[in-house]
Order: sequence, then C-alpha cells, then structure tokens
Amino acid sequence: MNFSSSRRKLPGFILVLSAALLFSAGCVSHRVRKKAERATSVVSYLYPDEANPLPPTSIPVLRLPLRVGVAFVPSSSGHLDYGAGGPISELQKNALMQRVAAEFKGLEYIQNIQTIPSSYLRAGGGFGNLNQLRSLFGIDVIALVAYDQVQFTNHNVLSLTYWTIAGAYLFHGNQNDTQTLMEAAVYDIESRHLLFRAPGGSRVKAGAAGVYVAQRLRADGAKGFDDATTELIVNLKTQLEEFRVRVKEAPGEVKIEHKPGYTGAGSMGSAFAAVLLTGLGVVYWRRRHG
Amino acid sequence: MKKDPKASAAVAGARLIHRPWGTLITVLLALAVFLVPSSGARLGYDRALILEGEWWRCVTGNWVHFSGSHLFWNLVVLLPTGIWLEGRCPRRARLLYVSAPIAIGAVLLALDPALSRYAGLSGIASGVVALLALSHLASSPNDRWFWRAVLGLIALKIVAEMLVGRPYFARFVPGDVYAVPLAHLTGVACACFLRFRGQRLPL
Repeated sequence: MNFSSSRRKLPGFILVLSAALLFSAGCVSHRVRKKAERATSVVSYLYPDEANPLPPTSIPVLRLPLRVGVAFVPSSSGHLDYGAGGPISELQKNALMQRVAAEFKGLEYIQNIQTIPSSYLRAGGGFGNLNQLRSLFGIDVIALVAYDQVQFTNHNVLSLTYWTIAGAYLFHGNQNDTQTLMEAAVYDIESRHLLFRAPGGSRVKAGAAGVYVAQRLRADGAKGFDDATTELIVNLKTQLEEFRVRVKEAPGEVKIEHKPGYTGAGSMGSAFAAVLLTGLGVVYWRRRHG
Repeated sequence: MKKDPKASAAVAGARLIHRPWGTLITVLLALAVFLVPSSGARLGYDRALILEGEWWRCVTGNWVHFSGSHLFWNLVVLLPTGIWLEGRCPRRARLLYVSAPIAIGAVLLALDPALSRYAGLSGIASGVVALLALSHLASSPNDRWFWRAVLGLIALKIVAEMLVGRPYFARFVPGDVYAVPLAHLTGVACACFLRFRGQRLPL
C-alpha cells in the first residue's frame, strides 16, 4: 500500500467532507425564514382608497332580532398570504368562525349567525362589497375578523448538532415564537357604523428540530389562531355587554327597533305581583283589624 | 217578626250583584283557553289573521297565554284585585272587563303594526288595579298614600317597559317574546275613563 500517497489525499478528503457537512447543515438551517408575517386589515378592506375616511353621519338603527354575518377580512394584496407556517386555510377560517358563531347563537336578540366564506369577499371591497353580502346572505350586521400573525425562528446552542445531520432530526435546535393578534370589528352595514370591536391575542413558544421547523411553525400558527379566538370570544362577550349598557345609557347613539312580526306578551311579572299583593294584604289587614 | 219579602229579594239581588261574576268569568275563560291547547291557536291575537277577517282575535287574544307562569302571574294579580274591585263597584268593574279587551285589541292593531302575535291578561289586570286604586282614592282618605303608590307602581312598570324592557331584550316568557307596555297603558286608560267619565254612563 502506498501510505505516503494516502497521507497526501487526507487533507483534501477532510476539506470535501467539511464542505459537504457545512452545505447540508446550511440546507437545514436556511430552508426556513427567520421571520414571517401574515396579516389582514379592516381599514384596508373597508377604505382601500381613502386616506382620511369620513365618519358616518346617520344613527344606526338595529332591528331586532338581528341577522349577523361573520367573515375573515381578505388580505389587501388579493392573493393568498403565505407565512412560514403556510396560508390560513379556508377550513381553518371556517372552523374559527363556527366557534365564534356558536357562542352567540343562543342569544334571543340574534335571529341567526352565518359564516361567510372568503370567496365572497374581495380585497379592498369596502362597503360596496358588504352591501352585496347584505343582499346575498340577508344580514344586517357583520363581524369582520382581521388578524396579524408573526412567527420567528431562531437557533439555539443545540443547533450545533445539525452538523452531524442526525442532530437535525433529533435535537430542538430551533426556538419558534408565534405571536397572533385577532380582532373582530362589528359593523352595522346600512349605516356603516362600527358598533363595537374586540381583540384576542396569543403567544405560542415551541422548540423544533431543524428538519421539522416548517411543520412545527404550521402547528404553532394553527394553535395561535385557536388560542386567540378563545380570547376573542371572551372579549366579544364583554364588549357586547358594554355595548348594551351604552345603548341603554345613551339611546341617541343607536336606535333599537323590532322587526315587523315580533311577538308580544302582556305579563304582570312576579316582582310586580309580589309588591302589589304585599301592599294590598297590609291595607286589607289594617282595615279588618284597625 | 215577619220578614218583608220585597226587602229580602232586594238584599238577595244586591248580594248577587256584588258577587264577582266578571272576575270569575274572565279567570275561567283564561284557564279554559289555556287547558284546551288548540283554542290558543284559534283565539290568539294574530295581526295577519285579524286583517284577513278573524276580528274576534282582537278581543280573545287577551285570554290566551304563552306559558303556565305567564298565566299564573297574571291571575295572581287579577283574581284578588278583581274580586275586591267588583265588590266595591260591580258595574264599573264589569264594564271594564268588557271594554278593556276590545280597546286593547283595537289599540294594538292600530298603533303597533310590528306586533304580529300577542297574548295575555295583563292589560285587563292593569286596568283593574288602576280602577281599584282610583276608586279607593276617592273614598278612602286614610289609605290615600297607598293607592297613590299603587298607581305610581303601575306607571313605573309601564315606563320601565318602554325605556328598558321593550327596546332592550326584555323577556317575560320563554322564546322571543317581548313586553307590550301599550296593552298595559290601554288598560289603565280604560280604568281612568270609567272612573272619571263613567259618571255619565248609566252605572
């Protein structure tokens, strides 16, 4: 065997191996972007060409019971918004909207809640688009759901194991951070009034092995939306209560009417009956014994 | 001592007159309509059917109730106050039992076109309570404060229903059923008319 020739080839072999390892590690670590964001905006959707939109002048008239629509605001670019975790699918949107709708379906002043698929909303459609939805779905009020999700992924010390290739499968060398903010803005379509709004947020932190980063980010993104929706529902309920109080205290702000066809009952009520009968009993007793 | 037959007949007649016939008939009608399920559908106030010619629903709707508790609380008020009122001024009370259902139905039909269905005795019951209070105010100086308070309570209930209950989601019976203060107001208006203008009527 020619050892001297082998010795001469060794540095070259190590160089090639190092380059190969470096290249493969680079493949793992650079396949995912460091930061990704997906967002939609109610303002961009409702006022696409207006820098200073004028406030509506008419008083909103709510005819009870209300027919309500729930829809995700389309992204302003008009195409699907791909983040690190992939796009928010129609299935996901529908599931989130169904959760919101289910929470408010039992209320006696809501006739029905319809979830409106994204295909019925066009980017920058504004109130013209909302009026179309009003005619198509027969809704009076719409809850527009916008979101802003930012995902970060950073390497930690375990990412050094990615050099071994196997480490990229085994060790969580990536630290993901997913921050989600959702906001529901409830509009009276006819008067163009914002009745109330409610936010919901979440933060999901998770580690991932190099080759599973994209997969993990998708799962984190979905969890982020789910958690934010939970908070959004709680805040929507609070805001709805505050809105009811506001309407009672300032009836000029919103006018409430009943739709033709409401059912009415003449009822004395237990409280009235109790107070009246107690008083009558006292007076009757005084007359008999006084 | 021999009793005068004419005087005995007069006393018996007076007793008969002062029996609370009007109250009992009204209560029994409400109970009968509630116990016979199909009668509610045939007798209830339904604007569309009234405009198609079933005019009696304007009147009979007052005896229909949506639930047991709805009927119970109306009767709890109507029965004692009605008996008391009829004992004091039977003719006025009976005239109220006849005129209030007609007036309530007519007013609801004319002034509340959004109301498609209505049921309940409370319009009549409000009128009975108001007439009882008004009649006592005129003749019972010691208890005036109380009867004024009763009138105030009725006014408060109507105003509360107008300001709070009616426009904002008040529920008195299960389902999408709203309070109708106009019916109570009409019942009280009938009572006021019978109290202050009733002297001109042959009572």
